[in-house]
Amino acid sequence: MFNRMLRSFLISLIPALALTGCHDRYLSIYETMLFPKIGYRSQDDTVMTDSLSGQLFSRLQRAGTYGIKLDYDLPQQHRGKPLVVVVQGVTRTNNAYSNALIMVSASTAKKGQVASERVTMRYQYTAMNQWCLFRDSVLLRPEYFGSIPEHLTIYTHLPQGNELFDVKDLTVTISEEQAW
Amino acid sequence: MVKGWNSVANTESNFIGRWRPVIRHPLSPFVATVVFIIALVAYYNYIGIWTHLPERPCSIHVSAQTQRASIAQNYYRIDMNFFKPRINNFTGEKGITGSEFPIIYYLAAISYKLFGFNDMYLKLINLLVFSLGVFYLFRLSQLFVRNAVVSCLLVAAVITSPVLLYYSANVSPDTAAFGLVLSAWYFFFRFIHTHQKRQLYLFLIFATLAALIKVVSAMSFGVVLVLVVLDRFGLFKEGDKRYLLPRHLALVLGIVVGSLLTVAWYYYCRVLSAFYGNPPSLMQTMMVSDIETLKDVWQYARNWVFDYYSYETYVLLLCAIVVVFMFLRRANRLLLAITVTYLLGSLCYVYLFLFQFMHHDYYIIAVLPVVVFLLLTLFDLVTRLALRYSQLIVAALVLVMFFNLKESVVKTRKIYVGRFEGKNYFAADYRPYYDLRPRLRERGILWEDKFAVAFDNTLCSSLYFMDQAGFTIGDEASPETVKKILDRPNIKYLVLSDSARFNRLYPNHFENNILMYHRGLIIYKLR
Repeated sequence: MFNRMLRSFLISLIPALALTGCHDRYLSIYETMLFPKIGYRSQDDTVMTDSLSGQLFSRLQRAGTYGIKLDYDLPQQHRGKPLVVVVQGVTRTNNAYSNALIMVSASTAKKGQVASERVTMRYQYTAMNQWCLFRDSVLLRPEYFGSIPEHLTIYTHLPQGNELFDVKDLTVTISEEQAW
Repeated sequence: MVKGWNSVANTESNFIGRWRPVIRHPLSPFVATVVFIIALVAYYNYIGIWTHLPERPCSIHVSAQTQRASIAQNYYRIDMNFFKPRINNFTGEKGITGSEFPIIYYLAAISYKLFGFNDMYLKLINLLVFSLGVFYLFRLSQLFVRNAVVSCLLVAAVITSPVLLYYSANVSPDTAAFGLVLSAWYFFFRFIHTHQKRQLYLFLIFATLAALIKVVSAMSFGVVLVLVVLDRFGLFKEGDKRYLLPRHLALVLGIVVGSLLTVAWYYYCRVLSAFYGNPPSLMQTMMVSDIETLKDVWQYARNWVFDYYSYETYVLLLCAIVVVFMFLRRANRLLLAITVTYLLGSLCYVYLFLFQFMHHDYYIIAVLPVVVFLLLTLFDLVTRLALRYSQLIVAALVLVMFFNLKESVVKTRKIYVGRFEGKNYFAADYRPYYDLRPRLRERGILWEDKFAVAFDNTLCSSLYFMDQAGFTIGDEASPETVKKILDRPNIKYLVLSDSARFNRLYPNHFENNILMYHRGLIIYKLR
């Protein structure tokens, strides 16, 4: 009896894994790279040149300042769905307990901002005063917001403290979480 | 001697009931098993268990999780001596501490030896033991309702609980103990039916393991003893057969042996903890004796109510109680006796551990056998009524269950997924520690080197993630405690998550000894 049960178990595992193991969890709906360039209209940030690579980067250094930003109108068909915003790029700081953030805020035309999520940059630095690759994500679940977001804004932010918060090659990917 | 699934289902037995005609399964046992396992795997997939299985211990009760996981880690790293479980916190000597029977942690350590360290194996073993119990629950319900679809619905109703599913693929042993209890009950009923010693032994092995892993699971022993007493009084007498339960003496003796083993293990744990000076990871009774504390407990515990089960399941349970009361005379006496005895036992348990329910959602898992047997009593009753009156009654049950489950599964998934999302991390965030270990090894730091970590309010969460032994310094630590820890000659490194606060607590000149930075942590070399 035990052998028969074991055999059933093993045989059934194969189709079960095949049936449930293969699907894309996220469907990418938008991807862009934000980088300062000639003609870039900065907010509170300063556009600087990396002396080694010659690349431009955005720098925030005072408390309460906002930097490089993406505004994105959500297409109608993706509104009300769970969205994942992935941010990746290269960053640098001189503060071990960095206060820098990348904010993802969701808003509607009527109510304004309905949700705000953050990527804590402190968790991204593995060395001081050196460029570090980073990648992180936030999940936006409209059911928690009370209204369906129509617009996303992604921006760098230094809420408090003085430090050098540098960002370059910031890539933002917006994906829709697939139901099942 | 009766053997095999078909023969069990197709033979009249006392506990199945006297009105029941012989019915064949619409599905063969093999197909039913295959369908059930596929359904279970797909169900786990829908809930999100496979997605979160590879994640490191996180979210609610990360402290309890890492404390258990560190036992497996230390078996793997230090010593495979089963009788000397260790945690990463070396407050006492060598980290050795008393723990629940560490069989699951030991199996995980063997997996680490075979495949390399990955805490997913521990979670997977827990999930497998739990799933084994769920499978036996399916088979147990098959014995009564003899319909694979209805059995699947019963199983789904029992396991569609955010707390249960969250801890199923997790480190805490509560769901594994629950799975073993379910397996034990299946073999108990097989024993009643077949009178085979083998089934008795399997019942005793599973029930003893469950009690060893989580002492409150020993309630199943108590329930069986009550059944033996009731049987002696002739409560289950049917026809010319005097007793329903076979081998009363062997059953009682087996339970006594199982209980003695359990008591011996927990006594050993206490001795071990006292001897080595580390806190044991065991359940502790915490009663509530005044009304103010009771209000506090209620204030907190009510937040968990819909994490235990969804609103729809509570309605189902209420309906089950009402229907069983309405048809009390037709209900299966044995199942009813088990439900009532379990209920009384669970009330005693809740009384003894009430304070723990304030912050510990997983304490409810020990009570879930009541839900299992209540629903089993209901489903058995409905099947009996359907056989007597009309099969439409079963069809109605299936329909009601379908819509009930449809709602509760969606809600359960939402709560389950929510528990893993960043903003719902109920404890401190340990993500900076997740990938610190390879960087420490790069710097030539060995796992034998001892660390002090400030600030970490748990016993060993940060140490576990770093894969280092040492000490944690909590928010409330005094300068004397910090000095005592840092003065230990074997402490070589200090990890600070907030150096400014640490400097205020314990003025120092460590800034000259910075070894590295890592995701908001500063690591100092002390000596």
